[in-house]
Amino acid sequence: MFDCTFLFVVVLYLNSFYFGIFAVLEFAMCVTKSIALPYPAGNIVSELLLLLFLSGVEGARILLGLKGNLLQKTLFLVLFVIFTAPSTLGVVYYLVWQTYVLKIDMLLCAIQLTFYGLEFLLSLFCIASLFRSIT
Amino acid sequence: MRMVLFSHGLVPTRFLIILSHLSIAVLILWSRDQNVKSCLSLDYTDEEYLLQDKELVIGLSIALGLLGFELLGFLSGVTMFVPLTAMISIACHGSASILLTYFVLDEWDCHLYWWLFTFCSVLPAVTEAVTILRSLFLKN
Repeated sequence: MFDCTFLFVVVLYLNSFYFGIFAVLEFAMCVTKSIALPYPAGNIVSELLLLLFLSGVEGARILLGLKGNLLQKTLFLVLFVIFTAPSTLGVVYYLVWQTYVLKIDMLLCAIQLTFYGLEFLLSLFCIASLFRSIT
Repeated sequence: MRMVLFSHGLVPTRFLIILSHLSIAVLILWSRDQNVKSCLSLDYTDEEYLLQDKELVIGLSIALGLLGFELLGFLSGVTMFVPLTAMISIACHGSASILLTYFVLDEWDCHLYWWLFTFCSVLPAVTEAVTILRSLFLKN
């Protein structure tokens, strides 16, 4: 039987590093764009605030995933799946609805969304295997 | 397992550097116009342009394929904890990312890409393949 827990932990662990880079790059690009391009009033502030919110949600999400997997708690993993929704929306904002979408934005968001898809599937597998071990 | 993962700085470093090479390769694939023009003479024809363009696209696509192969071997855990492979991979992909950035910014001649391709894409992929074969055949 394929062991999904190992892959899940590895992907979460790598995602935590990738998200750090992602957040720093998005912040840098927000600053660069605000210097180089004309922005409608308030947009830059809301984008930076969204980045802050996204970092908070993402940190909580990854911690929940790691702890839930370690302690074998289904509740944590279910919360993890629920927390994936706002993170995905935040990343999709940077991919589609941002004031100026650069090519590098598209690429970084696409990689982050790939992570989300992979983690979503793997967490479902983990929840299923936890249920099977209980019954 | 957790301790092994968390005490290894090599694992996340290698992953992020492979991703940086991947992103810069995709970005060049998206906007390669200037690089193609810089390896043609001033009065180039459309045919010459298309030929050079095709050459660069093929090179970049093979590089992306090799990166995918390396990511697969890495994420499946076969070569994740082999320090030598990780070091070679970090050195090659790190220099590839920096040099490819200069490749775009300074509009290098597109023939120079093949040097980068040999030393920064093929070399780590061959190392990866050798490591996978060794772990497949020598373990038994």
